[in-house]
Amino acid sequence: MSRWLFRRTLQAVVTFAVALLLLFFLLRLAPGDPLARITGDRTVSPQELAQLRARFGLDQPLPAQLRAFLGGAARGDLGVSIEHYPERVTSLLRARLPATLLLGGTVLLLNFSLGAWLGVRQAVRRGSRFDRWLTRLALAAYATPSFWLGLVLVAFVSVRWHLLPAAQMQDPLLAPEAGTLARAIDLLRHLILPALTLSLTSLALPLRHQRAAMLASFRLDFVTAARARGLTERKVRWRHAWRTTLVPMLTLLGLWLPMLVSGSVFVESVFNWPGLGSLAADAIAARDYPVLLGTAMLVSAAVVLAGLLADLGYALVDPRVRPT
Amino acid sequence: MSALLELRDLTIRFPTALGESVPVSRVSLRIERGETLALVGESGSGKSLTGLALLGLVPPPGKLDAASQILLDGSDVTRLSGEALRALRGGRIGIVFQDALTSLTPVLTVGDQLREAITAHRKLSARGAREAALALLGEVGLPDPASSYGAYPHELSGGQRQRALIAIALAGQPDLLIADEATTALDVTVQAQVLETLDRLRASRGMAILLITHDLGLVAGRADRVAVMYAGQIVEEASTASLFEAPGHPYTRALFRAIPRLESAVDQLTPIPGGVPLPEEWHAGCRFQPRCSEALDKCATLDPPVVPLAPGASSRCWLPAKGDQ
Amino acid sequence: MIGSLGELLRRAWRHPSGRWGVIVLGLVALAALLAPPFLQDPAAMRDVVAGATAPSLAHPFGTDGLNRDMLSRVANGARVSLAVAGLAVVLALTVGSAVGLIAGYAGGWVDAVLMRAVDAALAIPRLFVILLLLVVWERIPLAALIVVLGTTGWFATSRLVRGEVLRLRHEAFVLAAEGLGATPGRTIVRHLLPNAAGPLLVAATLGVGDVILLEAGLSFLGLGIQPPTPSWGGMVLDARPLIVSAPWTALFPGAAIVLTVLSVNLLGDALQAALDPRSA
Repeated sequence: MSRWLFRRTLQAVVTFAVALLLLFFLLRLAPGDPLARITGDRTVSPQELAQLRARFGLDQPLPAQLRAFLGGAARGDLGVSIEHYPERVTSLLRARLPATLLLGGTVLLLNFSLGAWLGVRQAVRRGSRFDRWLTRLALAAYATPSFWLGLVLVAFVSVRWHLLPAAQMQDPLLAPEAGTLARAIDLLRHLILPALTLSLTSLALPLRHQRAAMLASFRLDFVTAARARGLTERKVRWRHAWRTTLVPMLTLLGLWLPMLVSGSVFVESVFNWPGLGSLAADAIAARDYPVLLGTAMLVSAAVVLAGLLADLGYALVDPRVRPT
Repeated sequence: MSALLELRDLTIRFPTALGESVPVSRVSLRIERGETLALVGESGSGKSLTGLALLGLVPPPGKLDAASQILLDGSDVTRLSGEALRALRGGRIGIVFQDALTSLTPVLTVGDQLREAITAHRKLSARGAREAALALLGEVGLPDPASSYGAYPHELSGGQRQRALIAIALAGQPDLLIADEATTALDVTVQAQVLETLDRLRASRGMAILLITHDLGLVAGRADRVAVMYAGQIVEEASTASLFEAPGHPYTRALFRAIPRLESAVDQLTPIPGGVPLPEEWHAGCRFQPRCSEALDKCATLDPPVVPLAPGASSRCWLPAKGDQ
Repeated sequence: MIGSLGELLRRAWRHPSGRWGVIVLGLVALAALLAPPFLQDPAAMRDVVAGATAPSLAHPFGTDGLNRDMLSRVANGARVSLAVAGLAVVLALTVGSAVGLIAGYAGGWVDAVLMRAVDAALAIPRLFVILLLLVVWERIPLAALIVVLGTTGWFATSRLVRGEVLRLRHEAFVLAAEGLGATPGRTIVRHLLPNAAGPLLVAATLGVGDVILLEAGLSFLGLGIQPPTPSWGGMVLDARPLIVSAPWTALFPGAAIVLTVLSVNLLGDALQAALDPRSA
């Protein structure tokens, strides 16, 4: 088991390393001088330009740049932000990570549980109006741009009807001596709209997967055999049929995480949620490459890690898969 | 005293794209308490469906015909649903399927599934259920019940798995056990052992067994009575002894000619020409007629009657009872 | 091959949601085609000070913040979105098929290296790759946008094509042809296309939906289609400050995106169901 784990982890590391290489060359690929952009409106003297170039290592030949990049990545040094100079990219990422984890985690939990419950229900009631209409609704939601849905929700729920806050993660006017419960509720109120936006626009994926996996599971012999023993339909459905769908559902994690991450760029930007997504969106506007690159590296690492965890999950969930 | 199980005119219908298919047609059977009835037929004869029908497990869109009756201890169970049906399954009638690997849930241990089946029918504490499970595993002949208890289905050998499946089928202490090709997938020696175990359990629990098989050889010495099924109908019913001595139906006779026997020095086996017809191909008249070497002219158009040959024995045939061999 | 494609389309048409998808998509395409001659020039600024006006007979979709007719803007936006998405997907399919063919046919280390690279590329979310590529430009040329969108979406196609090539390589008739002296390449290509056409078509339709959403998002971030060319995402961006006072400025472009992507996805699903009925 540990040999397999070692090999699999090594594979993940290699994949990530190749991804890093790809990222490095991506920036160099695009035509134009990256520095010419940031200086923007300000007039910059040639000396200042040369200093900037040296500071960001852009005056070095390509192999040297690559070495510096990889070396920095290995040490955990991702450079310095252009917009928030002289803040380090790593400190910016670290500051914003918790908010994204909170939002992403909530959406993951929401989608997985909603997707499982509704998907199973659809499979059991296959062909019914519930089944057909839920599929249509989920597809329509999937076709909805998350930034647009976010804006609409803010406009109506927050601004027009004053039900929930419109932006950010916390009420800036919340009294400093407010207790943990008050803080938690405030956080929750701010979390609802962005989480709902992200969740609804991606729910179709786990929903459809669960439905299909459940239908396949129902056709398997052991489900009939379980019924033949006199187990309640509920037990047969969840303990026998549904548990067998956990493996195909885990494969979804690898597909889904990149989607979630991309969606959060828009949603965090619309709701001013102080996470990695809005950091990236701001970096775009400011043409802050180090930050963009750093964020890309971090999310790629997360995707690779998620894939590794999913593989581990298979072994946990399906005893047949466990390497002996 | 009424029979434990009585089937009257069991008919199963399936709507298909090409019309209606009736894979089981007016099957009538009796099983007494504690006896073993063998239901013999080739694949496509409808024998497995008959077994499933007893548990209300006919796969949709199949349905039982309204005139069908399944009497368990005298009361009709065809209309059962909900809690009553659940209690019947495993509690009064148990079933052992052919392939234990696909009949057991792969993500749960044998012990989990056995305990689950036990508590579905008996009120026991967690400890009590575990003990009952271990006892059952021992009863079915597993040498190391504790290790089988904690094992996953794929970790056991074929024979062990089948025994585990039998244990699970017995968990609810049923009066009737259906063995649907339960030993077909096993090696010959293991097959014999498992059948021995089944017989032992039958005796010790006073259970009846419905032995569904395509293998006439299994039947000798194990079943009290035999019913032969062809194309959805029972074509012959007799005690095992008299069936083997003097089969009453041409199909049964043809079956015997097709299997090798030790006593008679036969140079050639005579297979039955043609194949089992599909339900869509059935027509009026005797369904075996196209392949029957003894067929009369009227067999092609007139449904043969069920003719009693001896007490408890009958044959669905136009030919007068005779016995050769 | 045309025959099997035709059969596929016919079966998709019988699917109720597939039919709906084709109809709506057809309407959108029609609107896109007919927009310029029949509707007002979307860039024509009239009485700018009047600002956004609610939907009326003169302006069925209302006007935006600069008093431009929304209906014509949305319809023209359809042209751009459909064109960009279509071209990007064609590009992605081409690149993906080429890579898949090479990987599957060459085998060995070429295959291994290519597939490893694909795995690594898939670890980077598509949006980030696009962002990193686009962020260098002041004003992003349309061609660059299409190329970037296309070159970031070919990975799944390459796996699909590679799979087909590998499968065919071991088919008896290919080995037989090889034995007779024919180059397996020709045989494979001749049999690859009909087999892969169906799944590729499904991938293409679903890909179009993805690209439309991506392009709208990019335009919303300012990195997609540049003004004054109308784009649905750009319209939503413009509508952001007006969303409460003039909700129609955001509602219509958003609804256009939803309808188009939904119809494309429904069509893709219907095609998928026609290919593999069990998944319905």
